[in-house]
This record gives sequence, C-alpha cells and structure tokens, in this order.
Amino acid sequence: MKNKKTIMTFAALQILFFHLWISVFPGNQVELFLRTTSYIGVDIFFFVSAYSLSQREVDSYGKFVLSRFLNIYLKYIGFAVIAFFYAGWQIKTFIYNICGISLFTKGGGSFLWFLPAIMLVYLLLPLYEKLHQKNAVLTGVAFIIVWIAIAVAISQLTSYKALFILWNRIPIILLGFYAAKSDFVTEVLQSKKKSILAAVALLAVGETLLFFFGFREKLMFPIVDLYYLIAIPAVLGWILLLSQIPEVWITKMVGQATLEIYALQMIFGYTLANKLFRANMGPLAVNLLTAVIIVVIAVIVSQLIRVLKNFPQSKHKM
Amino acid sequence: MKKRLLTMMLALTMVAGLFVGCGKSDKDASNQVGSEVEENVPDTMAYGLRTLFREEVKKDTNVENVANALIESPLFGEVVMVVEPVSEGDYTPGFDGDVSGFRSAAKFCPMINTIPFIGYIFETDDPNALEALLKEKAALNWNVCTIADEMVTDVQGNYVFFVMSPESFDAE
Repeated sequence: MKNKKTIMTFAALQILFFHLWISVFPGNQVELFLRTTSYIGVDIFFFVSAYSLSQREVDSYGKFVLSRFLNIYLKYIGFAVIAFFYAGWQIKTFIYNICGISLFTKGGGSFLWFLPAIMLVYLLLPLYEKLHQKNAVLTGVAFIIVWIAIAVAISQLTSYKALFILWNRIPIILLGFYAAKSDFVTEVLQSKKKSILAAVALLAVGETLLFFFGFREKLMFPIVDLYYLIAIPAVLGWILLLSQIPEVWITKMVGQATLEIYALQMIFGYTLANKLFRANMGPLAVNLLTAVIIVVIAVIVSQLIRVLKNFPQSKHKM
Repeated sequence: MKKRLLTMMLALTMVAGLFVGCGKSDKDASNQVGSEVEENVPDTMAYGLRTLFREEVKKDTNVENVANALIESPLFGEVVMVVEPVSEGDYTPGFDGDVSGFRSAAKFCPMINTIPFIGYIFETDDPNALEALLKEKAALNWNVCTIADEMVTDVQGNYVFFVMSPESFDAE
C-alpha cells in the first residue's frame, strides 16, 4: 500500500490520542468528538493489514502463520510478561490473555486486545482467500449473510457484547481484502487527484455519520455496537488522504514501532499521565509529554528488537 | 497437511472461546439496587462508593462537594479523578440519549476517559422517577471499546447516586 508507514503512524497516534488524551477544554464538543471518535485508528490498522495480506502470495500457510506469530504474537507475549510483573496479575489472567480467552470474555477490556484479534485475522483470512479463489461471489455473499445472521442473533437473543469490538470490524477487514484485488481502487490510489477528491467526499460523509451515530448517541440496533460500521466511510477517507502523504524518516521510524506504541501506552501510559498531571503540569503539557515519551521509548524498543533479531545474521556475516 | 490441520485446530479453539464467552453474560442492569438496606453487599467499587455517598450526602447537600468527597476515596488508587458540574441539556455520557429531570448534578470520572467508569450525583424533586429513568437509559457499553462491569444507583432524600464501573480499578 502506498505510503503505508504514514498511514500507520497516523493510526497509531490516533489510538494514543483516544486512550490517553486529557481534556484541555472541558465541555468543548469539538475536542470531545475528536477524542471519542479517534478509535477509528484501529479500523485503519485492520484495513491496512487485510489489504497487505490480500496482496501477498501465501505459499505456505504454516510458514506464514509462524512468521506472524514470531513478528507479532511473540511480542504480545513479551509485553504480557511485563504486565504480569508490573501490574501484579494473577497467573490465570496471564494465561487467559495470551491464549486469547480474554478477547472473547472481555473484548476491548482485555490486554492489548488488538493483537490476539489481528492474529485471528491472520489465521482465518488466508483460508477465506482460498474459498474466494474457488468461488468469489458465493464466498462473499454467503459470508455476509452468515455475518449478519450471527450478529443480529447474538445482539437480540443474548446479553453478550464482548466480541463485537472485533466482529463489527469484519466488514472493514473484508473491504481491505477486496480493495487490494480491485483495479479501480489501485487506480484511485495511484492518482493523487482522485485519491484526494474521494477522501474529501468520504470524510465529509463519514465524519457526519460519526457525529450523529457514533458520538453522543451511538447506533446499537439491530446489532450491538453497530456504530463501528458507521465509521467505515471516515476510515476509508483517512486512508485515501494519508496514502498521498509521502513517508519521511520520522513516519518510517514511528510506523515501524506501532505495536510497541500500543503496548507501552496500555501498560504505562495511565501511570505516566497521572504522575505528570499530579506534578501540576497543565493538561496540554501532560498530553504532549506523555505522547513524546511513549513514542520515543517505543521507537527505541522497536529498533532494539530489530537489532536483536538481526544479530545472529550479522554475526554470521562477520 | 498436518500443519494446516494444526493451524485450523488453533483457529477453531479460539473461535470456540466465543461460545465460552457467550455463556458468560455481562453483569447488566439487574445488578442495580435501590435504596433499601440489604445484606451481602458485593465488595466492589460501585458499592463502596454508594456507601460513601450515603455518608457524604448527610454532611453536605452540594452535589459537587459530595462528588469531590467521593473521588478522594482510596478505591480509586492512583487514578486521577475529575468532577464536572452538569446542567440539563448538557451531554451526559453513559446513557442512551441525554438525561433530564434534575435541578443540579455533578459528574465524576477518571481524567483519562478510556476507563469504563462514570458517576453522577443528581439533585432532583422526583428522585424515584429520575432513578428509574437512569436505569432505563444506562448503557454499560457507553465507553467505546470497554464495558463497565456493573451499575449501582441509590436514592437518599432528593439526591440520586449513579455509578457504572469496573469491579475495581486494580490493574489487570
């Protein structure tokens, strides 16, 4: 995807903003709207991941899953170990998190929920690709029907809500999957003018929908947390817009450290922000300093991990 | 073939967790209690705050002062809490739609809003009607991504206490 690191940097900062922003202008609806809806950074990540996966040839499913496990899930387990000691988890909590059980029981309240969720996507999307190759139309139609039926049934017949944070992201994931295979989308992405025009239109529609159905009153019927789907036009608009912003060294570095940014903000971010606030810094200063500290440390950790991963190879070359 | 089978089994195991999760229902509005004296009160944050509310509202009738007293509770640990006055017509997070029917109110919540905690103290002429309205409109999943574990309300004179909260603020 064009300028992928720019897109990922923006999405990571949106999520940081969502999690840790302290209100600078209490009661200001613009600030509140921007913060409340910046969760769409997650949707951007889902779209980009599915798009990238759809573009690549998965020769060996086992090798692909193993590589994702080593690049993503191993880091997740590492951060879970840190959280285990730092937060004083029970062993049951640790096991439930790393096995993905907490994702199903607590949804967004589970530790770094996005990482087991994206691992699930990496497990299942290649299988969807195989079905798609056999019969694209039937696969797509059948999947949509099953998705809607399960979503409505669980929403209307049970009080279960936890997994909708992922279930309602399946449409944006599939949009990423299909976008990568679409000549039309490729053509739009390659044209700066078309991308920006489409982005402006989508953002105008998308942010309006978010304002009315994903902000003060959230669309919850007939599917729980249906407002996640309302965000799709805005998500696509941001992706199109950001795809036209060239990567620079800072977005390349930050874009490589998005997993670390996410993990550090969730493990240490609240404590850091609270401590800075108690040191009588104003909310804006707290926000900026918290963000800078987390991003800088995340980039350092990310680079260290890269060096350690490449160390056996560089030692061999010597 | 074996690798594919193993990976499918891993995927199915995670999907099977869906049914484990489905078997567990969220604590919902049935955890609410009224203002009667009851035994075996759960040892959770919301109930702890309710007890504090009952003590504080006897000492001070200003809703902001009561809320400020509640946020000093050690139940909140290191989390910085803030109190904001609320008027009718203001945005009242935590509910499907805005809340009305009160003279004055104070909202108390974590400074960082992603923790699924929200609390209100209302002063009203019809506390029972307001309490019923709050219970009807409350949305445990008002906070994007996270869900509160429980909702507790209480009425003391013309004052209504409302909290949606995790069971505790202990880190998980």
